[in-house]
Amino acid sequence: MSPLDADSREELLARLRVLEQENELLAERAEDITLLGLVAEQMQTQEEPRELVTSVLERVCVLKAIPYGAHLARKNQALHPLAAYNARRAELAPEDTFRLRLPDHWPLASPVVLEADGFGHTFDAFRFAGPSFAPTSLALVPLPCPEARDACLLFADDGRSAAELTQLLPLLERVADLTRARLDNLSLIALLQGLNLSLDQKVVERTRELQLSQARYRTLFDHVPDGVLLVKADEGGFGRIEDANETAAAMHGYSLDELKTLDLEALSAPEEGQRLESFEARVWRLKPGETVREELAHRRRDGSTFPVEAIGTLVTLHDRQYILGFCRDITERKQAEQALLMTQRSESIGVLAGGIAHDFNNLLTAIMGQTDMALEQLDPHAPGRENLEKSLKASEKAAILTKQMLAYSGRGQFTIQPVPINHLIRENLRFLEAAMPKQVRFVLDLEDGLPTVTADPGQLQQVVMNLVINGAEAIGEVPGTITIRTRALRPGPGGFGPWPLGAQDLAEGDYVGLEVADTGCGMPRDVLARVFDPFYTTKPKGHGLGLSAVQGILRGHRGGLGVESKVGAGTTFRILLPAGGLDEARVAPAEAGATAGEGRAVLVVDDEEYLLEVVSDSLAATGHSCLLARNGEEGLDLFRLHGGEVDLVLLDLSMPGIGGVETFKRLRALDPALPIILSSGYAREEAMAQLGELTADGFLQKPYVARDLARIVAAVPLRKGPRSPLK
Amino acid sequence: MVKAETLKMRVQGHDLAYHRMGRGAPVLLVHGITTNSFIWRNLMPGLALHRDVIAVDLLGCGESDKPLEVSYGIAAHAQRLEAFTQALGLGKFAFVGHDLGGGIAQRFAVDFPERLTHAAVLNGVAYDFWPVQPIVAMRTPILRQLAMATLDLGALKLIVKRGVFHKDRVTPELMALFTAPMATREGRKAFLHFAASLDNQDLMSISDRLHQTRVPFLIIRGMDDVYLSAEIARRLHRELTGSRLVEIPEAGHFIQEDQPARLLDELHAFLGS
Repeated sequence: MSPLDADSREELLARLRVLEQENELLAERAEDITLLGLVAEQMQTQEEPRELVTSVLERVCVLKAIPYGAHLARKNQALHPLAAYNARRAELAPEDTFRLRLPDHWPLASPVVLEADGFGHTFDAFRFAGPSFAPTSLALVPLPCPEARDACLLFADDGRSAAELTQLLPLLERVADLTRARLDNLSLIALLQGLNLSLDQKVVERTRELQLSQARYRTLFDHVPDGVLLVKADEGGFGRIEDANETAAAMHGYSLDELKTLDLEALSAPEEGQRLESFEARVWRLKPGETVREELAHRRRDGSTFPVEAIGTLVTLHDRQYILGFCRDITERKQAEQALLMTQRSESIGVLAGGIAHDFNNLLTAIMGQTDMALEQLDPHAPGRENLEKSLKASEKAAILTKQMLAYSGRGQFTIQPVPINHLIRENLRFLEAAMPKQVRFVLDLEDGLPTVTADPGQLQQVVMNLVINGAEAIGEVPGTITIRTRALRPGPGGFGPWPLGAQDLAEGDYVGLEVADTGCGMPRDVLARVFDPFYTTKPKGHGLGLSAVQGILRGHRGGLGVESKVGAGTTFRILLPAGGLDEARVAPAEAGATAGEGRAVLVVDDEEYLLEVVSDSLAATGHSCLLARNGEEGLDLFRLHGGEVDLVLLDLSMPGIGGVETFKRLRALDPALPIILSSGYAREEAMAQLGELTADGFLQKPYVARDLARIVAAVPLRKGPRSPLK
Repeated sequence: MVKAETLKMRVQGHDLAYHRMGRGAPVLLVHGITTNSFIWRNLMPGLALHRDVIAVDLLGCGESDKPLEVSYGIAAHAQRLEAFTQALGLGKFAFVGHDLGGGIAQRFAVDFPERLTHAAVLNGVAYDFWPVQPIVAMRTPILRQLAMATLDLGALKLIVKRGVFHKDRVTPELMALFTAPMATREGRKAFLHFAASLDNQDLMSISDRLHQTRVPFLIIRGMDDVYLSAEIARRLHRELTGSRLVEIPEAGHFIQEDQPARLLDELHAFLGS
């Protein structure tokens, strides 16, 4: 290669200089891109705003060899650093200040570069902390930030001219843009974090409120006295118990968790007979707001069943259909209903028995009256007399039977008086011991100082007899014991404690308890359940009225009766009688020794034709005259016609039409002093009670014989005043 | 790496950090730019077998203080190290300097010849190694690279990789030692101040006196050092009477990473056992 000539060399050197300049420009360009890359990288970090801006300032200052950079915010007359980078100082210097000449011109609209000569147009003065620093040029680039809208970046160079610094402006602006975007982001993020925090707090508060509310609801739900079941009612688990309360779980003998794994079917007890449609199916067809109410049998975990009243309705929760079911255990109600039914049945039988007995009594009165009169007219040796006497005896036995029936119906003849019950038992025991087989031993356990009871001693005697006979029969041929026990008792809140009587309504107050316990064969459950039923008997010759009569007597005495029995161990009957004194008997004793005397005029009012006949015959036979009326109205009419001649009225209480009581009242209204004798098949006490405040002058229990009639009529005094004899 | 305890000595109002091992004639190990006392970790245990070895962090480097208002120039470092070794009570000692530390060794030999028994310069700067004057210096390519290295660890890794012959030895562990001082803004500012403080004048001004020194000099050069030319080492060897030049193959600028055993042998031979 030949040496270059001067021109070529100059040309090459010139080209080399161009290349060097281009290289320099490219290097600068690469450096700028690197700087922007580093700044952008910084934007990805989680630095807080001040540290972020400081890092950006450091990158610009280090790479562009600028000794000082700051982010300044205007406060009144001066700019103060929010962040700063001073290559010649270790720390940020808050004392760096730039006092403005014309603060009104701020905020800065666009970037500016100031040369040393022009500083004075913008700044009154400025001060850098640390070693003396005399800038040769300043660059100001707007960088508003959330805390100061008129903030800017300031770069101070002490090597570059203003022109040289101006070349950096596009880069500095780009850096400012990147930084502003990030600062805005950070501000929004901070705002968002604040909101999130307050949202979190709200969620926490609401969650707590919700939890409290749920707990409250759950407590209420679990303590509702009815079982509540929420049962799935659509495809995918029809019948599955989704939720329930503690009451429902306890009612069925499950834990709540166990219950929630079951189908409703597991709780249903199969019922006798086919239902047309299941409870669930009926609920499923309901319209909104409708309910199904039904009594069902439910099954407990241990297999036992119990009656429930179920109410079901269809509900929608979270777009799913459920049967909301309430079930109430009605075992007690059912038992009470059963007891009521029993009482009603026994009462209706009582009414029936009472009615029959009443009619029988009337008939017997006629039969016995007529027979009695026939006997009186017959010669003692007349043929047929013996037959009539047997007929009269049979009639008397029939009268005893009707008496039993009346006792069962609670309408037997009563003579209420204070009865010392221990005394009554001791008196009767002698007869009882004589009557009972030898293998039966008696034990008396009688409490001393018992109050008397208000009772009919005859009926009470019948009660004790019936029970003791029952006991002796239960003991049979083997040796055994009958214990008779008495106690003074007062019911507590739980009833009579050791004197269980079942569901009986007894008034409050003192009672005397009487217990008859045998060591006999006892009774199986089915027999026990029917033991008081009338006409129910397990004895070949029994007529089934003994214990039902006891029941009727106690009902009439407002007492209680209970029985306890175990097969092979014996039976215990317990009765309760109200303790206390006797009310003054409202019936004046109609006792008189007279059987004959001056003839009386008697108005007889009775709806029974045959009875009128026998009374009429009887009265005539004993020298009395009578007027006969078939009902109350007729009686009143006759009294209005012949009132002045009537000595007394014999009035039947049970009559169709205006009835005995009303007739009584009207008669008394017509003549307040008129003696009236009541006649009834019902008990005297009951008959008298029907009169209320009024008082009868005597009572004639049906059936009666002529002697009774004659005695009671003769006891009524003759009336004064003018009168004409009756026909 | 031997993790000797970091000790501190207050010199001229600032703390200098150093590590010390072994017993015997004292040897001061002085690092250059981009490194600190860690660069001696593979040599210290071997040297400490027969000597009292002290590896110092220059002011502004490693764990030493990092003030910005004082000079980090070569003459200033030499003065501080003189005060430091006085404070340690070393008396006469051997000075082993790498890179900029080699320059400080030359300045120390001229300014304080009575303190040195030996001076070793490993890939050391000399003469007008530093292309331009300080203020303008920040526009020079080498300083741009160093500035970039403070912010961009990729750039620093390039510098390290270029300075090591056995590239596979530039492990993350080694890079962590290089980058540790760049983790803080204070460390970055001190590093840049260190670079900006370098002034060729500090060595140019002593070149006449240097070749009159009686301190025995060992000059070692990694033959694959891309930062400092072979001419620097050869000129030093020519001008330092009685000096010894060793050129080591398969060794880059950070020669301690490439040839620690060879270096140890050369230093033992030079310092005598």
